[in-house]
Amino acid sequence: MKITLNWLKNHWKMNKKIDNYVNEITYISENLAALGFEVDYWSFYKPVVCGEILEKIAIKKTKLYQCLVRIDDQCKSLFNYESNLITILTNAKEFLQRDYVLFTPMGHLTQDNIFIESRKICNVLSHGMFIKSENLCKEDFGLYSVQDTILKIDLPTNRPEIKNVRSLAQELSYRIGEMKLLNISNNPSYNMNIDLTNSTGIDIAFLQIDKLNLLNPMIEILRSISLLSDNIYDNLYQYVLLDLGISLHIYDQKNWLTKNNKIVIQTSSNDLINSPMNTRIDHINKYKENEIIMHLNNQISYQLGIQEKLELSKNTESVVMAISNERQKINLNILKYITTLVSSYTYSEPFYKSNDKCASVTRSKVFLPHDQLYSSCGISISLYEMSSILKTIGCEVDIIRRENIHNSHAQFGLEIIPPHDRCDLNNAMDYIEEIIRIKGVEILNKKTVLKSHIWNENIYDPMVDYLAKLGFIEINSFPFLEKQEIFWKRENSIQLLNSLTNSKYMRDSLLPNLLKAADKLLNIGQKEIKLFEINEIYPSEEIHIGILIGGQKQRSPINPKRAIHIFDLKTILSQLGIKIENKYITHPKYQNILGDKDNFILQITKNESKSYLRKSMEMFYYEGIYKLHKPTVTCLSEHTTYKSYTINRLFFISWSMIEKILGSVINYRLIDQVKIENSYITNIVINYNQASQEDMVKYLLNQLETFLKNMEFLFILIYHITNLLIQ
Amino acid sequence: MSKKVEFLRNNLNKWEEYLTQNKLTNIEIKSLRSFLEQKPEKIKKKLFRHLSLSSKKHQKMKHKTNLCDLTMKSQPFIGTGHFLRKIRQQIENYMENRGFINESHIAPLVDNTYYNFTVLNIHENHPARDEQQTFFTTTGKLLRTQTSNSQGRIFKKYHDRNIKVFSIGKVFRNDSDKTHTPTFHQMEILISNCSLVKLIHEIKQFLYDFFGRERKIRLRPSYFPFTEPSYEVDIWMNNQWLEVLGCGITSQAVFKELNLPFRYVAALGCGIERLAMLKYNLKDIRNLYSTSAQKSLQLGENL
Repeated sequence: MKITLNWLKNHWKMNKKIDNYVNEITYISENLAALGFEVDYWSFYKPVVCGEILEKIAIKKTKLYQCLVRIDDQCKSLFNYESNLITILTNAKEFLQRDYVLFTPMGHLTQDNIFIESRKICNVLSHGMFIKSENLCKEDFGLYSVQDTILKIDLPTNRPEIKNVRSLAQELSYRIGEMKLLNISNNPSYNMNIDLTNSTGIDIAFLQIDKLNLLNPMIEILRSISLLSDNIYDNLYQYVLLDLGISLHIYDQKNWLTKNNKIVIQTSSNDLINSPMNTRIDHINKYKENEIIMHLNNQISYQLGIQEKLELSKNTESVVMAISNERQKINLNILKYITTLVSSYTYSEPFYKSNDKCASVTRSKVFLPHDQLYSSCGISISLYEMSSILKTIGCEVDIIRRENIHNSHAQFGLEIIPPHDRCDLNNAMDYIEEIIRIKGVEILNKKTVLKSHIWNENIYDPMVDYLAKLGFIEINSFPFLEKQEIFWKRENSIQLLNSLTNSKYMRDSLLPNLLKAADKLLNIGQKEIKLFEINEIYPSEEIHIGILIGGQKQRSPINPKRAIHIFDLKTILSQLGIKIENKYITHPKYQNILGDKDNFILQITKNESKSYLRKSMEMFYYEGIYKLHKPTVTCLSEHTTYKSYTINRLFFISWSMIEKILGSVINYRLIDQVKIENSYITNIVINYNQASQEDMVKYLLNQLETFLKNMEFLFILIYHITNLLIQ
Repeated sequence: MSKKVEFLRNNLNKWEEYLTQNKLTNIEIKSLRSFLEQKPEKIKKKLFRHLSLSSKKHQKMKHKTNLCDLTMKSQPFIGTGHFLRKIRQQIENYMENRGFINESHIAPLVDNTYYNFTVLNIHENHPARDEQQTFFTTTGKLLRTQTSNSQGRIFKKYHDRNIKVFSIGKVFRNDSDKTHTPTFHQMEILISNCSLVKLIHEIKQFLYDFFGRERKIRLRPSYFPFTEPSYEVDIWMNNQWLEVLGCGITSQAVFKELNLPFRYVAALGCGIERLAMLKYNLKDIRNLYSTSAQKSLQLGENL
């Protein structure tokens, strides 16, 4: 929702003086945010001038037109123009001689934040930029927009009653400032039993009228049943217009009033499509299909549990208008009633004489035990304070005594009847939320924190670290594939109904995306492909690791290069402790594939690669289930090799990795046993299978003396141990 | 010109040491030879001897023993794990160390509407069920839109004990631009018998440790169908408030749907990418999901 600051101030008075204009807006924004209405952004209004085109001449050999525009004296002095006649260049054909047009004057920003300065094009000096063609008349001539600030406010979806500036002002007054009184009078000639004096907010419904000539009758109808006062009507009108992204002049109340309620807005779809407001493209597109109105109605109907949608027709002459009332249910019923009336042209007769058609609003009592606030939120407020807070938002509250309250030790509590316009207040927790909101959410945020020292930047992941050290790069891709990219059988893969692109299938292998990555690398001149990806595959949702290797292996700067072969991949796999079953499997695309579905190696021949890569190349691929192992780890000193594989997984780690390993060892919670082969750090085997963190710490403390030989290591060790002891 | 040659040009007294120990390649010797020709005769004679000796020695050695030049530089491997997975592992490790149980795999990624919406008090005509937000599959299932789909399962599993769990994983939304991707990571934290004040403290602690220093936070009342009360947490960064996570006390409606007795369970949910982007000042979220290895390398440099 967008409102202007002056508009808000028509309904709300600030009781604090702030000299700085920006500080004032910040102050209001922060208070709105504390109430749950986040101010997304605020921006200053940009001035717009309405002038008359006296002359329009086409410039030869260009598509440009030179327009001589007349402006009034006020604009002349305000924007420092030398005379009342200025030239503006345009390429738009729709601006004709004797038309009244809107333009952004020089030295100012347009709505798209384009800065307009006087510029010479084809030897003609242009002093502004036309905005769009409007059905403007003599009365519009002059300065068109007022100086103001626009506030874009995000409204929570559970507050459908806040759909206008008045109800927002009401909310703000709970925290700062106070409401201004609204001049609303009921029309006594009709039997409408609506109490507007106690209204805490005005609801809104949206109605689209298909033909413009029905607008005035509509207004008469609505006024006749006191659904609208003039003030609210104006404001709501503006709200709708702002939301749809219609140009600024609608803000100007004076101009709007001079139009004598004739045709205020012309929201034909073409105008909206051509609208330069790029930020509202979604809105505009939705409006094109008349969805925006339906959407708003859906939101309201959702809150009320009404399933029926209000279908609206598509018409270029259509006008969107808003009607408001205190109660939504009445509102919607009347809306439906009016729709039928308008379509049958029977508006002249008095049509609403009793409130039989109004749905009754049931207001149930809710009991709030006194200690519920403490048990749920950890704060305590006296019953009297809670009661007074709830009364400010229009609740009827009684302090009562009850015994044997379920889930509570309290004997006293509040019996609350919600205000009729608050459909979001249903149970005790809703009232707790309201109490905290009005009291100020800051009361929840008082404890200070200290750094815990358990954040570890270096997580040891043996498989990934090993691959990264060998020069492999990990990629991370989206899980969506196109039809032809599916690796296994298409029938088994998950298909999406509403995908954004052609990628409608969930990946069943990591290979297609790795091949895309390889293609990108080859395209920039890379000769050796070393890629891997760790991601889930569907439908099993198991985490797989895919390793792709190919191209030419550069052995040394002197010796000739050789092509990467399967043994390069197999060496890596054996280092990682991965075994492939010696069994060939059949595949719809690839000929040479060994293993099983969850653990296989694959040869991509030059021919096979042609369909994926721009440069054909032989490649080898491994895919299997990935587990973040914290398995048996053997640390060996630099340049040492370990030949006998007696334990399930082994990793060769250089001296520089010791820090990382010990970091992960100490931080890992489920360490059970520590085995040492030698007393020196160069040769430790750590078995993770069965033991506790305490054992690890005790052991490491005992071994401190032996570690003194290496001061660097000692430093790291003491750091980690102290961290653990602090915890 | 190699660094050695440059060094020797400036330090003539080091020539003997370098040349006698055969530290230079033939190409480097050649370039030094050409450099010497511009020098005065005295220096030329003295240093030229070293040079000629050295090159002869070098050649002889190479000829006789077929030894290779050990000084030649090797090309280092440049590889990296992915930035996003590392961040996820860091958070997982941190949460485990804080005593939370990892329940990331309790809920599937392709889930049914019951756990993703109905249990969470998001009823059939709610706008969140719109096709514009949720990916539906041909089999009538959907790709989960939030990690909160684990809530129902966790409450059932832990119905008779205390809950202190976290769940981290991928979620899917039908949206793509500079700040949104169709896939992203979320983390869900659930703590039973925890008041809002305690939860806020836990959040502050997490943000402190994640960002490495204390951050000013702001609470903002909000609305989530499955928590009541609900708050959004903003942090003060780059001179503005930035929304980072949502939290609240799990709504009674969730327990009612599951036929379980109501208990106070504090819940928190946050987007991992958003936090990572703020921490490392990344501009475009789409770079985190790219098939470009170069972007992976660039991201890897952050860590």
